[in-house]
Amino acid sequence: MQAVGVNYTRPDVYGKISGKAVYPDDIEFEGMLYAGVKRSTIAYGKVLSINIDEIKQLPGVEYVIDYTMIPGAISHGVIFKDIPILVKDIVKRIGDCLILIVTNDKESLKNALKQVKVEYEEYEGVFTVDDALKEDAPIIGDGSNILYDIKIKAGNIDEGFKEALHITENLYCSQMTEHAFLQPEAAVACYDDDGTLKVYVATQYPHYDREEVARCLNVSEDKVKIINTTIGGAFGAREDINPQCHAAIATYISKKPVKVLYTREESIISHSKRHPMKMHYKTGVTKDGKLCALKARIYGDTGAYASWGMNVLRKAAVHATGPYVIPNVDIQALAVYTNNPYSGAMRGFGATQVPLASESQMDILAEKLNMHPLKFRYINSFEVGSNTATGQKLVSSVGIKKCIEKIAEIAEIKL
Amino acid sequence: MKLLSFFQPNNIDEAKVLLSKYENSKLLAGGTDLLLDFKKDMNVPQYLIDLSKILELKSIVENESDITIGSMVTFTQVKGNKLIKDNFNSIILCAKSMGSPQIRNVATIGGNIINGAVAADIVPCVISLDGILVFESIDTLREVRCEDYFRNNSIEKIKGNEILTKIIIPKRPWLSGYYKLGKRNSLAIARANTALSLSIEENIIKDLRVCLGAVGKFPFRVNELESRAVGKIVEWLFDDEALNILENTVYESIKERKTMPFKRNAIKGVFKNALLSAVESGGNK
Amino acid sequence: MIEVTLKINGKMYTRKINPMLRLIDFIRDEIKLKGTKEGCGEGECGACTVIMNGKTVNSCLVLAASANGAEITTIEGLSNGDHLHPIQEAFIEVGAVQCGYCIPGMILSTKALLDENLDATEAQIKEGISGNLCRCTGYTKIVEGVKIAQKKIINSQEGD
Repeated sequence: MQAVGVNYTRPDVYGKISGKAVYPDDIEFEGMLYAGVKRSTIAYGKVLSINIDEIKQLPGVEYVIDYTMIPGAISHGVIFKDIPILVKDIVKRIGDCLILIVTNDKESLKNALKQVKVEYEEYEGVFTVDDALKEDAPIIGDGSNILYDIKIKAGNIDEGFKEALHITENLYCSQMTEHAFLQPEAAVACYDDDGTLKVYVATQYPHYDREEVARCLNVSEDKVKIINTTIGGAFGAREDINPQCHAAIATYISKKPVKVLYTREESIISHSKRHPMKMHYKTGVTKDGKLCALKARIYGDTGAYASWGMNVLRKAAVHATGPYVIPNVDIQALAVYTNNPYSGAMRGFGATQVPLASESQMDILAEKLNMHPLKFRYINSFEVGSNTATGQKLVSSVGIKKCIEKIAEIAEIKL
Repeated sequence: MKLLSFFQPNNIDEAKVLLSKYENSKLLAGGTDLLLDFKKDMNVPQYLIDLSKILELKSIVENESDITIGSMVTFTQVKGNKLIKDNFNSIILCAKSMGSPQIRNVATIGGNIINGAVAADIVPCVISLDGILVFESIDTLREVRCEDYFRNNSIEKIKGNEILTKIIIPKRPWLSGYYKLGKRNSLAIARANTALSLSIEENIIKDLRVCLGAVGKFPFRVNELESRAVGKIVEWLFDDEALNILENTVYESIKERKTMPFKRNAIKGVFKNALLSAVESGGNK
Repeated sequence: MIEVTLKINGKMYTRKINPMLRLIDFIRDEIKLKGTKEGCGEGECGACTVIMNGKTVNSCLVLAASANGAEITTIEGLSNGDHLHPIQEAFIEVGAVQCGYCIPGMILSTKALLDENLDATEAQIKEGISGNLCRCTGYTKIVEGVKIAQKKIINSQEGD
């Protein structure tokens, strides 16, 4: 415990307080081009035509790139490669990337992007989990709208509820959340003297980025270098690919340095979100105040693409009981595709949403028992030797009881 | 449209000449609204006339019966001005709650009145203080009560060749107050605001002006409440009888809007806070 | 194109510019001072804050043409060679810096505040930096940093 309670000066702080820290948009190269993507403005449909020939004629436009010009893979994704780098024909959310425009200055890019005209055949999309699970719902995912379905069972749920003196059953809904890190996405790609393609980007996963860039360029990974700049906040939204492949493809085709810079609007439209969740909770407690049964059904709106959807819903399921011993559980968590912005990593990663339900249930049951809510939590808390709902036996580092004791002492609550 | 030229006149006369000479021109005050439009390629004129170098428009002057505020006076200037502090509590409270320091440092009173229409912070204050707007062009000068400017906006609206040069606010020994409900403390534009001024003698209301903002197309006065209040004690304004008038007024004004159920209730709290701020300013006029 | 002259961090810069150019673009693209950051482009986040004629402004909401003749301080103008400004020292000491993107603006808002009111109370400090968002939500440390900066500046003045 050498670091706890000790002030350390972070090594990158001098650059950051003096304005010298280099974020991707601070990088410029001689002869650098600017690239940006036109994004879909509808949530679900088929692209019929884009006025590419017209765009090519606009002042300052060097290249207009569509999916056919990508040398390698045309999609990416942290687990399933389902997010189009440039759409082939079907768009599944507002913000899908249609074409990549490369110009010789910022103004021309802005102008060219405005002139893009897209004709769609628009389909009726699904925008709630309930609609996506209906039998006749359009299929947004790969053969099904259920990306992931996990069940955790322990004990005997029916017997568990029979022991209960009080049962409370409620529905909790959490909202979509935007990371809104302060530095909008940007990347600069260029070739090194030795033919390596370099991408300067603020990223959470330079090693994943290298793999994705190499895949889309159809080159080996040793021909790609990802250089992580200073990162202006991330909170999970820089785990998926954003401008990396676009900058790399533009450089690959033009052989020149290329910068991609998002506006705040594009940043919000393009990257992942925190999963909105619908959580049906039924919790039972015995006359002694011991939790005896939990039935939970958790639905996460995973949006149009997989990203980390399964991992997030797994985490939600695993954490569904809260830090409390419940011998009989029946938990099911599903990640469900819709035409909403895709959901992925954000601070807490599924463990953030379920406490809204589990802790609210605790308060409601404490009230029914006429017991102080802190005491109610205390007598149900995990301790060394407890079994979690997944069957894990806790052997060390279980601090919650000690923590509650301290709170009780300070707040003068009798446990 | 594309911007062809940018002018920075040094005095009002120069600005008037430019404005009459170039038909497709626009005035630039603080720019905190206009630049947002430019970003979306909206409202881009061929000629932009920047008023920021005109010192005549940047002063706050005390006259015998009024205080005159130049249209290019910033919110920061107002917030720290002694004349305003001594006379118009509502304007001070409004200036403090408008935007962030950065916005207040450039946003102007004139710009807020002309651009901000629906949710303009300062307009309810100026209306409730019986303020007058002065418009000048190369060959005209007109004064319009701020209330009339918005009530008869289709007629009174600023003309293409006019500049709002100043705002004249009569001095009188009344109390005034202001309250704004925003989504968050610092930056949000008003979701609902109320400015009021009142004359009290021995706790009896002699006269009252109440102006509501962001609950209609333009800020407007609540005449029914104003007339019913005269002769009553100040406490009456906190009673349901008074508050219900406000609720009904807001209901009638925005019954088609989704925000109506929220705002018709919220306005009562906003009004009470505005009233409290006036009463608490006490002897400070 | 119009010609403008701005004094930035004590140096005069004259450029022919498009009259629609924003002050932030003038600083970043024309003068190549990259310490001023763009976060939202609409005056909400304050990352682009600079000091213009003694007052903070969002440089994304000011036209460079309007700033003609103005005196501007950016983050690069704050330290004197390797000698840091007391606000910068204080921010380092207290750990007020996380991702760093808000910091140039935050420091300039702090400077403008303390230049005007060195004895600002905690409430006044919070008000003074209310136009600067820190999405890492490090406000507690930032406010603490401002307080330490106050002490540092007061001490250095007493020492003079």
